[in-house]
Amino acid sequence: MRSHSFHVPAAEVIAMIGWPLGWLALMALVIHGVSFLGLLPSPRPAFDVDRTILLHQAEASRKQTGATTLLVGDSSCLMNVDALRLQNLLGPGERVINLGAISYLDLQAFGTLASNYARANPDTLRRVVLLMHPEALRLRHRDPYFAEVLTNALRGTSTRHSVPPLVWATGAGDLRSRLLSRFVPSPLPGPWGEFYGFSRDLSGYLDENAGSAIDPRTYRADTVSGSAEYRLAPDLEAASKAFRQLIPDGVELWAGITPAPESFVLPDHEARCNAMLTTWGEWLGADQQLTRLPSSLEDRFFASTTHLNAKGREAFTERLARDLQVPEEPE
Amino acid sequence: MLFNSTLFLKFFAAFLLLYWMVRGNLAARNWLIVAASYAFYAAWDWRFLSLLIVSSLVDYAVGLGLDRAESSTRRKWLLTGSMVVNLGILGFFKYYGFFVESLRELFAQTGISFNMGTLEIVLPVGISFYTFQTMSYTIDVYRGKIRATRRLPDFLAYVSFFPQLVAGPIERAAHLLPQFGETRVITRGMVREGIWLCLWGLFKKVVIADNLAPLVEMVYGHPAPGAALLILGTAAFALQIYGDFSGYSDIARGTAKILGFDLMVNFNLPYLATNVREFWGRWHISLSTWLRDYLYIGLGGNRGGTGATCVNLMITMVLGGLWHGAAWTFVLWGFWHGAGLVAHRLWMLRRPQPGYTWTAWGWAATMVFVGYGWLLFRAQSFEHIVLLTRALGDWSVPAWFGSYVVNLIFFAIPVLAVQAWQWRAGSLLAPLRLRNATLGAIEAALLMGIILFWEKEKVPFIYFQF
Repeated sequence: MRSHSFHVPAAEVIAMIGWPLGWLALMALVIHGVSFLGLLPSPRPAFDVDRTILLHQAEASRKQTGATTLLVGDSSCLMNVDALRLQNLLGPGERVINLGAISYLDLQAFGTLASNYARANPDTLRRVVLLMHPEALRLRHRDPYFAEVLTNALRGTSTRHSVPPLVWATGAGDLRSRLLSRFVPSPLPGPWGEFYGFSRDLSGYLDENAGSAIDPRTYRADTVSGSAEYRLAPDLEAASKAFRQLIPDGVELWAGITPAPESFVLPDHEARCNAMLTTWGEWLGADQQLTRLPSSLEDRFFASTTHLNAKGREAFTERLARDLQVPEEPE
Repeated sequence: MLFNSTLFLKFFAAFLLLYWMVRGNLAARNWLIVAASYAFYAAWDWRFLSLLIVSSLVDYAVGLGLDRAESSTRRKWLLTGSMVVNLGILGFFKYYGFFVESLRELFAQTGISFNMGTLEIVLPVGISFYTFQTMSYTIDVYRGKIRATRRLPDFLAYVSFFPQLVAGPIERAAHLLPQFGETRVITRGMVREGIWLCLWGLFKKVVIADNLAPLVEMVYGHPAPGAALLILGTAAFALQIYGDFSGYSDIARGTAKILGFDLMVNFNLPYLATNVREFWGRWHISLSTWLRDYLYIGLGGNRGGTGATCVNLMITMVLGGLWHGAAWTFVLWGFWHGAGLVAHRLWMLRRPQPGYTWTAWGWAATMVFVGYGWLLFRAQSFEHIVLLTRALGDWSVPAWFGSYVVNLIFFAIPVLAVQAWQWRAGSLLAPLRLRNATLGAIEAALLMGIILFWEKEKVPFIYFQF
């Protein structure tokens, strides 16, 4: 007995499959066409916490917001400093903007943000404060994906890296990043979702808080893994010198290292950080080194090993304000 | 191997090629289906393939035995043997830990220490579905509704048919088994329907359900959601579970259609129901009819008067809730729906309706009832249920409430629009009445949506955990 008989003419099968594929191809042509002609808005792939932050900071780096003090660095700069509070503590005439980003980026990325901001605000910017965590200072390898995201955000182009061929070919990627993401915000996961909600709300929070954010998580020492043997990465010297070149003449560069939880660090952590800061500051050619910032704080001030929580941020901001107002006397 | 995975696309493409090659031989086709289905199942976990095979062989043998047995005692023993094996496997793998833990908590309340060890038992995927499917075969043979089949490949294919193996529809032997013994005639209409069902099912899963999942988690994972957020989050869950489960059923039916097989409709616009009884006539139809035919009727159905009928309804729905998972929240959900069915029955006795009228009030009341049932279903524990129920008194909203509403509306619109279309047209296959070009445009839009979200982190089908 035959298994099955197929009573569908080939032309019918071709029509059934061909029509949807044909329409899909037409949609793809239209999307690529209008994208090529520049009729679509620039990509805004704010699909998660990291990309939302990157996109916001990239856009903010080109705005004329008239900051006198600019904060740049990794996510510990973003999360550990309350820019508006710092501004109040520094006194009248001071305006602070935080362009802290994420730790997957390198000094070149941070320098690009600072350089862009300096170009957009040449008459007001007096000081760039570079803050990084020891965890970021020892990283040897960076994720090229986020560097590409930042580059494309600054250029207004689409990210091709790790975009599946079918997604690119059908225009689905452009549809999602250029149109959908602007109208339908992405939900954020876990504690981020509970605190900020969606990508649009996180972006709004950054807008309202001069680029600063809060890490909503809770630090738990018993779940932490990793080593506190911090040291400077071998390629940091060249990267630091290149960073200095991106800071305009006449703008001071201050460098500092952000704290880690007391229970996590080694007994010689403070001495280790001081030595790292001295060396790193020399590589950067920093005008001032923030040597009086705490290298560690009590665990209760932390959201993670690299980020302070809201209370810790308050305490750290006050310490930073004091150090920025009274620079250390050179020896 | 998820339906919404590149691996399944490759698997199905390879299977279609081999299917074409065996078109001249029915036995070869059935063995091909068995082999492919076992490979499909083994992709999940090859260790549990033996359970599927044992369950199949036991019920094949029991079926033959029932056909030959003349004594009613021997027939009863054979059926009992099938029940013991199937329910024993299901009970051990799904409920052992639950019962041990429940007993331990019960004894702890009385101060008695109960130290029976729990085992780290992995739940074999699809076990609730295929054991019910094989049991329906032996029960129907016992009742004389169908004859036992002597063709082993037909029976193995019936039990393991990969489109519906892990998450239904739970088929009946009278409907599906004969199809494996016949030459399947694949018509234009079947291919067209199959393509539509696959695309629409994938869209419901990949675009709707998987994008609503984080919205649901934002609410049900929140320590203190307010009433507004909880209502929207529960609405999101109602659409998520519908998109997820009906999406899977549609993909199952669609792939089967393309192969020339007909699987039963499992969902028929459930959120248009105007009473609880109607809801269960539209939601997970294969399970609700299975429970009706093999449990409710077996307990006596409505033959023992109003009181007995109500008891039978409650038992059926409580066990139906337990089928969904080894947790007391599922039992509570089953109890909730049992109470709803009892209330509806008593209401109908007092206020008999001469005809059927769709009413807005009936619909609204049913949706509120079903919605609260989803809250019970989705909650993590009794304490969580209490917390969520209390939250219904707090009408504060978070700052991101607007973004939540935008998301929910955006992902709800496509499924609500198609449902409205199907309802107005009076047919689930209303889109197939369109011309090829127009239907093609709609299917292209579905494809675009699927491609848009295909690479997102895969969310497991909800009903795989059952």
